[in-house]
Amino acid sequence: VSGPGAPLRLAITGTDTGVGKTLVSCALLAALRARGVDARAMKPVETGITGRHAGTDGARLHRAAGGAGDADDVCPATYADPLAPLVAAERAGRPLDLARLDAAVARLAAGAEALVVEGAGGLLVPFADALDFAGLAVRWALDVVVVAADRLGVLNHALLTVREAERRGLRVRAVALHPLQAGAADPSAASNAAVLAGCWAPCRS
Amino acid sequence: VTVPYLDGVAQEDPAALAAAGDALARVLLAPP
Repeated sequence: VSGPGAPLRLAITGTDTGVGKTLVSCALLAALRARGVDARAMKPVETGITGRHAGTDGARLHRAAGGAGDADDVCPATYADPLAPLVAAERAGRPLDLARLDAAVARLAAGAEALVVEGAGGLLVPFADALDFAGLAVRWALDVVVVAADRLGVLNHALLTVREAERRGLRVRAVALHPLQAGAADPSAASNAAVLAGCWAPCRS
Repeated sequence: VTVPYLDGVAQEDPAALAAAGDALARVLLAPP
């Protein structure tokens, strides 16, 4: 992404599993489409599911993207064990087919103004031998959005992820803070966004 | 960017989702 009008190509990663990546991805897709942007979704690997159904992350993303793209491209690889993709694939005896993923992302990106690719867990979660989600983002030339739970500890978690992404040569476009429950249960939520914004640029040096 | 909490019903409502993601979309669509 380099300049106005260039297509958005985004990797959505988290500081942990269960911090709201899918919700933030769906919200972003819906907001982009509400603005008339042709936005498409992809979940390259989803683990912990058996078969395709409406409750999977891939299905939620596909709906938020208005059904754009083929469902098999939106979520090309699924595994039953709720584990990191590399581990789930090894246990299933079915290694990740990177060529299939490459072809799927190419089909989804073709002509799309925005492509939102949601990872599994965090940036360094292994997908295949010597390939983590950061590696996939590099491979597909994606910019990064970091999703983090808006609670005490997020400053460290978010900055660690941002700095590692940048060390890998990725451009981090935003950190999205997401409350895990209704109400302001965590007092740090009142200041996390502002403190993080203040820390981000100085911490790059 | 802060993305508000949405309950299970709102998560399936395209308008509620779009409102929740609007601030993030604006940041990402802004020129670098």
